[in-house]
Formats: sequence, structure tokens, C-alpha cells
Amino acid sequence: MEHKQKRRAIVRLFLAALGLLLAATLLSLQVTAWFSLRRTLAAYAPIDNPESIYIGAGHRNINASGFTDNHFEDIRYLYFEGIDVDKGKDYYDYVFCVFGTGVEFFKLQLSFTTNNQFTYDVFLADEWDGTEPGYDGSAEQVDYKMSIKYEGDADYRIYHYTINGSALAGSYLNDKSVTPLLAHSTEAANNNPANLHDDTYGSYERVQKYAEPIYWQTTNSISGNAAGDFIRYFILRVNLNGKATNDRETDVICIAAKSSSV
Amino acid sequence: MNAETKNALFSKKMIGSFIMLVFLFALLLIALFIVFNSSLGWFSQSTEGATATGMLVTVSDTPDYTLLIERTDEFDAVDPLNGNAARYPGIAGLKSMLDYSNTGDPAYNSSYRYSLTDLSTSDYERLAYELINENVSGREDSDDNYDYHFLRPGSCGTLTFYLKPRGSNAVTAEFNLTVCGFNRLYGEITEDNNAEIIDLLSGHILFFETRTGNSINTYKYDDLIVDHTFTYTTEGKTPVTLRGETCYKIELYWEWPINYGSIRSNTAANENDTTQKYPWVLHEFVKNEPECFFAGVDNVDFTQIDSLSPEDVEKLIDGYNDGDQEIGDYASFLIAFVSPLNS
Repeated sequence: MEHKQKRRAIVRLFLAALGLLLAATLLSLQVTAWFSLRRTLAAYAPIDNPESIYIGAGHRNINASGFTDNHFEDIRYLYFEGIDVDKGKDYYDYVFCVFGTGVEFFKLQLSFTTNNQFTYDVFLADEWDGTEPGYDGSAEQVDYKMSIKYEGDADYRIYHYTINGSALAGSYLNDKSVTPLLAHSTEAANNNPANLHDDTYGSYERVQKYAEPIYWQTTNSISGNAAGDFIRYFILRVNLNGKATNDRETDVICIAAKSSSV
Repeated sequence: MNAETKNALFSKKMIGSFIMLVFLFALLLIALFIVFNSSLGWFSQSTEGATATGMLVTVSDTPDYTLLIERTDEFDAVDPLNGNAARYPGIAGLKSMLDYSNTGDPAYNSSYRYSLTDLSTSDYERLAYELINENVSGREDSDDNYDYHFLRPGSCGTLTFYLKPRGSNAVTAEFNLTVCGFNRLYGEITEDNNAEIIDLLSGHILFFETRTGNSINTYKYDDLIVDHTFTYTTEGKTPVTLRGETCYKIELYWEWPINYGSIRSNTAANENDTTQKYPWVLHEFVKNEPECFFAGVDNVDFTQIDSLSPEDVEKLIDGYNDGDQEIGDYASFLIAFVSPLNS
């Protein structure tokens, strides 16, 4: 082969190889991007809402997505006022509510002293704000006047509640007798599983028999909302049983709501 | 060979041409090598049908190995006995918060990008997939509707991914593991916007490299990941074959201890004790970083953690529960990030 031809051939080969090297380098630059790919694995899982359950006095704003504000009435605004024997009424109704988040079922508990021999019924209640159609206001209703004004309101809002259904079924836990209504007291506390004196008063023994609280709990659970916010309204009916006087002893009543499994 | 041929062969010109040829050959080899490696990169892009569950998705490429994950769709499960209601009520809304493409969501933040479905596009920094939750039953009612599908104290499960070495040598890979949360209104929870929740999550959601035992009641953990790093080596391990890929399964085990009492009673008594559910390292973690476990606890001397008074132990029990409450109140999602550290 002639040296010139040879040289030309080699130069061509060299250029071809250079071209190939260039192409390969460009191609590899594209792929080097994959080599420096350092994405992150992100393993995710949803976290439960913690259970929260509260008792309130009256109304709280809620829609399909949940509570719309933080305005609610603490239970201390539930005033047991207006019980007037001279009016001749057998019972007086008061409104309270149970609200919370993520609680599927709950039970209601009452505990109360028996000085006045009042008995209590609890009813589920429906709320009417005075504007929705389909309610003619004729059913006996209990009014609740908010104790705190909403921002921007001139006056206190009033909500109306009517009883939905019959009284919630329940039972006394520690009744010694029903007429008169009396709780188990200090005697036989050790042998009687229904005697809750020690749980209430500990070792203190000199307790007047009407000051021993009776404990009552609903038999069935009431539904809340496992997946979000909820509010349930109740009417507490104080039955006078014909025995009350206006000049009367003081009774204490506690209302509790406890989440339950079913 | 005679002298003439020798002279002809080893003349300057011939040697020059010979060197040139060698040089050209070397260039060609280099070019071929680069092309070969680049096409290897393409071969390792494993993709499968978009809707199949359990598909393998490439997460990261490094010169030594590729990481793959397997997608599952447990969170989309419905209960056919309950009118096909979702097992995870509200999960669709939660998932859309993480999704990179959902720019309309108030929690969307362009500085972090999650993909929940993607296969291999480089747009996504974070390939998000389901953390496996094993402890979903537990209510007294046996009806499946009331199970604990969402994470809560007492939950436990696994975080799994796969390592595929590029060559035939053993690979030692180092990984970073961090845990964070996601708030339904504010998006990603970080050290900057809520350091307390980040601390609590790192103490309440524990990740271990080792777990023994057959069931939730008998699990025993070891190799707690405390300093956000863990190492995996393929030496001595048996690979698995998954959808035609030969790879090594890396499995982390996580648990959210139900309360402080169960941590205190079930942690090793000293460095050599291997009889307890939790290793000694957890005892040290609680002692040295109590802010990761307890919320709102003052006046407790953690250096004396083994000999606290009953009142102080009660404080810690309440503090742990308060920590649980804070996590549950603020975080809608738990997210565990794993990324490779070394090349």
C-alpha cells in the first residue's frame, strides 16, 4: 500500500473512531444522569385521630366535613334553673350534648345524690335552629339560649330541641332500693359487688344515706363517628315525682360519656 | 525472519502506524465500553403494567446497585360485606395531598415532590409507597369494619425494598432513614415548622433491622436504628427472585409501642441481655433523648431512669400518652424516608 493512501486510511479510521467516541460520550452523558439518580423511598401510612369526647351544654356548629369553628358551650353553662313546684309541672327538661372526634360508640352515665328523690330520663334530641322547613314547631320543645354570643351577633342565639324517641334504656349499678331511691351505703361494702361506697368515698364512713350517689348507665351504646367529628344532643328530664318542694335540699348530678367498643 | 523483513517491520513508519492502530483500537474499546454501560442502564429500568399490584419500580441507580420497590394497594381496600365502603375512610383525600400532580391542594408544596404511582420518570424526588401495617385487628367486635387500619399506638409492620447489585461482587450499602409526618392542612412536618413532632415521631415510631417471633404477641426486636443510618451487605445473604429480577430483600421492622409501661417492662436490663422484646439501645435512647418520648414532662432526672419513684414513672407514662396525643392531633400521615448514602 502506498504510504499516502495508508495515512489517509488511518486518518479516516481515526476520525471515525473519534466520531464514535464523541457519540458514545454524548450518549453516556445522558445515561450518567441515571447514575446520579438518587431518589428517595418514601413509605407512608395514615395515622389515626386520637379519640376525643367532650360534654357540652348546648349547640355547636358542624357540617359534613366536621366542626366549622371552636365555639361551643362548656357544660358549666347548663343551668338547672326554673324548677318551681308551684307551677304544677311534673318534669323539667334541659339540653346537653356529647361531641368529639374519632369515637365510634359511647355510653352515657349519670351519677346523682338522692336528697330530693328526683329521677332522671335521658332522651336523644333533634335540633332546630328556627329556619329549616319541615318542622312546624308544634312538638314540645326545649329551648336553649347560648350563654356566649357568636362573633358579630347582636344577641344570643336560641336553638330548639325536641325529643326523638323514648327514654334511653339504662340501669342502676348500685341501687339498694328504688322506692325510696337509695344507693348502697357503708354496710356490707365488702361482700356486695354493687356497693360503690368505697369507690366514691374511700375509707370515709360517716356519709348520710342520701348523699351516697346512685350510678346509672345506658344499656346500649350511642353512635358517634369513627372517622371524624360528631355531636349528639340530649334532653335530660328531671322528674319531680310529686315529692319536691321549693325549699329543698341540694342534689348533685354528674353526667359522663365514655367511649365503648360496641 | 530475514534482516530485510525485520527492517521493514520495525521501520519508523511501521512503528508509527502500529502505535496509531493501537491508539485507535483503544479509542474503539473505550467507545464500546461507554455504549455498553449506557445500555445496561436501560436494561435495569424494570417496568410493568400500571395497574398490577406488586410491581417493581426503580428507585435509585448507583454504580454498584439499583434499588427497587414493590407497590401495594392495601390502602385502597374496600369491605365487600359493608357495601364496598372504604377500609380506610378518607384515604383518597389524604393520598391526594401527597401526590405531586395535585397542585390545587392547599398542602401542595413545590419544594417536595411525591409520586404515588410513577414508574421511572426523573421528575419525582420521592417515590411514595405503602408502609405495611400488620396490626389491623383488635376491636372486641370481630366485624372487620372496626379494625385499626390507621396507625395508632400498638401498630407494627414492615418497610421493604430490594437491592439489585450491578456486578457479581458483594455490595455493602449504607442508607439514611428519617421519619417525618404530614399534616392535612400544612403539608410536610419538618424540623423547621414543628421540631417537637419530629422528635416525638422518632421516639414513638421505632425502626429495627432485626425481628424474630411468629406473631404480634411474640415479636422480639434488635438493631434499633437510632442515628438515622443503617448498613446492608449482600455478603452471606440469599437473594430472592422477584418478577424475573434477582435481588436482595431488605426489610426493616417498625413498631409504635402502645405505652411507656410496655417499653419500661420489656427492654433489656443491660448490654448483654437479649431476652427482652426491646434491645438495650432503646433504654439508652429513652435515657439520653427523653424529648423524643415524652411531652410536657418536667423535673424528672433521666440519669436515674432505672430508679425513679412511682410518681415519676406515672409522669412518664402520662408524658408518653401525651406524646401520642400530639402526634395523632397534628400528623395525618407518617412518612419514613430511605435514601442511599454511599455511591
